[in-house]
Amino acid sequence: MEQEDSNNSNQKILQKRKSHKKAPIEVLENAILLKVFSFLDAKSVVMTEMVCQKWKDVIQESIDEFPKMLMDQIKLHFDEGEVLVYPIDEKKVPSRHIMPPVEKLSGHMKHITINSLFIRGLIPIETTPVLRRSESYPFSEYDKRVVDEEILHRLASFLSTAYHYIRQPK
Amino acid sequence: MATESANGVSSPELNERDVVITTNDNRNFTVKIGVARVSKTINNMIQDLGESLDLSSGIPLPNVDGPIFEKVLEWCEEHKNAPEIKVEQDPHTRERKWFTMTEWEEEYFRKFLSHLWDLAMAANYLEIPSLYYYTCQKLAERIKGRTPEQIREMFGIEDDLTEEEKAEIRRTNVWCTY
Repeated sequence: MEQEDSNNSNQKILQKRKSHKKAPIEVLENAILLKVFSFLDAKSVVMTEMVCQKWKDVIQESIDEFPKMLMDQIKLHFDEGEVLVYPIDEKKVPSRHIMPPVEKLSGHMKHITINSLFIRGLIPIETTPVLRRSESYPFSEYDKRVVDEEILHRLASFLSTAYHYIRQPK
Repeated sequence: MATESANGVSSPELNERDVVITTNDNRNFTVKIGVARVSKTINNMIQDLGESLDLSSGIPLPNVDGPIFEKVLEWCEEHKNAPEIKVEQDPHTRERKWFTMTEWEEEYFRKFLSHLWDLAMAANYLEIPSLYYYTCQKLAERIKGRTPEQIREMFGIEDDLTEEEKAEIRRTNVWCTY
């Protein structure tokens, strides 16, 4: 019953959104929101993204313009299917995460700048089975039929832009 | 600022003259040109009209209503001789440098706290950089460090994200926790 209620409210939200056209006034409002958000630090931007659909869109559309959270290093262990995030403060322990699906890697990095990126386990014969496992990450809508080459192709496309997340030297 | 002459009339003289500005609710405001000119939009209109400017029949402002324009004018009066603001950004964190406000400005925003969004809209349309940037900063000040729930409540924003979408954002940002 509860599940049904939540489905109903979701549907209502989605319907409402469909019928909503972008008025000129909204374009103007978006410019103002962007200006307001430009004063925020990275942590507040992350919070602000969860306020409502419109705010989320404004942030995600201009994600490159926002300040980033600085981390010391991110280690991508493709052979073990895990990610380690090392904060700038050396006294704090790194956080450990399951490797997300390859196409979601850049989404995970979007609020982050790192001093260095460490990548291990790119030998296809080792990596592919792990990546396939991480594709079935509990939350992904993974299509089981996806072929190995496709995973590797997406991986290559992520890696070719990964330098983007590394902080430029002063 | 605003020292360029309009239509060959020297600025100091022109600045002291009155102009009538009509807001979209048909209210007429009689304003010194020197004050009205803080708005680049109005300044451009005055310059474009040139010879044909009839100071008494006025300038229409179809996008601003009287109550907000009144507040904007208060700002213009105070800032008629203020230098252009300097917008700066930290090149490394990309964070915008926050402006230091005067006691008068702080008081102004305290007084009009519930009209910040309208002020930002008006300042944007009227091209008043100081009011626009400062209002945006004030809004950011209210957002900063607050949770999404607190922000929604403060501004009366409807929560139109589905639970799945929120969960997806949370999952995507899971590396961002220190």
